[in-house]
Amino acid sequence: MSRELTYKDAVNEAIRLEMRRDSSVILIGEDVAGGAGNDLIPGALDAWGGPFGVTKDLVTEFGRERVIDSLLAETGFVGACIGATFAGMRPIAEIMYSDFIGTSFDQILNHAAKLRFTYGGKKSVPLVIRTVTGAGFRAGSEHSQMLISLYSHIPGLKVIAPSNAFDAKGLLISAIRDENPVIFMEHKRLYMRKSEVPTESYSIPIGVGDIKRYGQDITIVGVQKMVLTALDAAEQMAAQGIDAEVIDPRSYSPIDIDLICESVEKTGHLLIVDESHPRCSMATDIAGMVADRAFSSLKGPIKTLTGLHMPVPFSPPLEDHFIPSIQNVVEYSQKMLKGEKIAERI
Amino acid sequence: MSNVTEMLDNWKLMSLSREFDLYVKEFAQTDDAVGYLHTSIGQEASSVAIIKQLNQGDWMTSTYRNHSHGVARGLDLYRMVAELLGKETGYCGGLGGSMHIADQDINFIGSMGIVAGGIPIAAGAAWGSKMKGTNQVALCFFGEGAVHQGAFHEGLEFAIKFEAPVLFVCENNLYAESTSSKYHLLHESTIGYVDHFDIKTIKVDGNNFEAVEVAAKECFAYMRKEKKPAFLESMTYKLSGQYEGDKETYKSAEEVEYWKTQDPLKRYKARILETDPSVEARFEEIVNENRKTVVDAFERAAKDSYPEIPSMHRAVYLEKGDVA
Repeated sequence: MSRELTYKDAVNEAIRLEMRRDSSVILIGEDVAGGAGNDLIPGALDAWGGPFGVTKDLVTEFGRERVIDSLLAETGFVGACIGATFAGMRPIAEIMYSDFIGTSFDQILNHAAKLRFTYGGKKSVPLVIRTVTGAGFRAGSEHSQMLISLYSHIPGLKVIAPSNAFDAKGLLISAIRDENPVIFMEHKRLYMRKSEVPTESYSIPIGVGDIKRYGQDITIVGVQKMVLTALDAAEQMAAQGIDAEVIDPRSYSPIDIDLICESVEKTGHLLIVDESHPRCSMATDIAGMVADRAFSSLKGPIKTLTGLHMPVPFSPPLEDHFIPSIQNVVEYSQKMLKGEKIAERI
Repeated sequence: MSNVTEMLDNWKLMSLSREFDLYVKEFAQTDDAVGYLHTSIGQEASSVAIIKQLNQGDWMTSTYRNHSHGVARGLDLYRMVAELLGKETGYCGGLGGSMHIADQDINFIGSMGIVAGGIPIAAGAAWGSKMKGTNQVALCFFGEGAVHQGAFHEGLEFAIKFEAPVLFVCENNLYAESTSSKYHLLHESTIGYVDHFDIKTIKVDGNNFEAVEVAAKECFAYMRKEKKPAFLESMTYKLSGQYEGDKETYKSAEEVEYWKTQDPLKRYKARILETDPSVEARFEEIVNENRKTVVDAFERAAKDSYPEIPSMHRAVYLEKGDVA
């Protein structure tokens, strides 16, 4: 059976099902339940469920022993989660915003990602770090970053950034069952979007991309929310006789580069849309891999359409400008197919 | 200036911050409001009494809960509002937003959106000034949730080791987001997190303007004389939520009612009236004046333009020839 579910409820359901299935799965983070210290006040237990209410009602089912409000100390609780995996726990740690990862990054970069390799390929760290990404929320430069390429750069980490509720549930279940540290990115502007989601448990393999729209003329790879931007643009272009194929990698480390290359072999054109900063980005990474493997299939240069090389600006019109738009995707695609030069987006 | 005139001036500044935030709360209900809005309601005495001790040129850092700090530091309300709206006339040119209101032109370095982010930076400003041989000191605000962060402990230890004249002010408002300090603090007071070091500490009733003023004066005198850091815990309460839209179901009605009786504006007003009952009528006038200042600021800023795109490109790096 399936029904329409929001992205945030799909995330919630994945955690709930896995916590029911496996008593070693716990959830910890800042205000993931909320109201700690005031449990006798009606409404205090489960006051927040995280700032977006994503983990609402989990504490009422699993109790504070398994849904744990951390201290404001990411190095402490992320590091402790790493340690707890050695004792057989399978923690899900929530970093409230992707931007806050800095305060725990040593534990992730130098320890979670390396504890297997450095000790001769022994135990890994089955830890999921859930975090909230993305611009467009008028949240300013310290609450709007993607940082996906930062995570994907580090061998030993797996990185997932789903674009819809169905994928979010299936991939989060896979992440929780994975034996390695996984960064699971949830885009704040996708939380309220609905899609058809089965009620039962299911998993989507990490590292397998998905073609969200089949087409013949141009391959457009979207990164997380930009998948929706690409799909909207594809619909507009269909009316103009351009048949775009839209690919959602879903996982970024490992990444399903074969799926992208196969599509490029068919269409001969590749546009990658990523709201992150342009330098050393997922867009340039995918462009590089495709140039390496499928150069001879290309009928024109690979193009990247990204955010700008600057912190995310607060001012609404500037932030809107920062994020690639549907119109940008349409314009880039049209020009690419005509072989016209595209001016650098500034 | 007579004592009561000075008291009324202090109260006026506290009231200005309060009126600003009350208007922000109304504004937050409208479609014009964007982003996260964090008010300082209930914490005004602490902000005004402490910031009053700064000299021109002294450094300061704040947090995303910066409204009372901005008002107390004498920022122009109109430019604060403009920042909140993302207008080019805002203190950060619209690039920062409400969480980052600050004025680097007067050495108010920043309002950090990351908990504890400003702590080592404030210590460093004081340390740098000491190396430069100036007499500037630094003031660093944070909430009690910050004491768990590595940046807090490392910044504090740095300031002590390298004798940076910085006043660390923990505005302990009893909640880290929705989490009660009864849960998250492992000591009775945040001083428990620092007093294993050799650092001057004071704990004060942060809703008692005069008590904060005495404590802050003592801390600043010590810092300026000894060229060493100090730590002030100002006990207060956020009478509003973590951010606008927070339903605050984690607070009991009794607790909120109690803290309303401890409202710093009410308490200081009572003290002023004990000093001079004849000024009773002034309070309503002050509130009305402040309300008008706030409304005017919102109306004026609403008419301003959003920044142009080139301005954000110029803001990324400071190049030779740019005006800093």
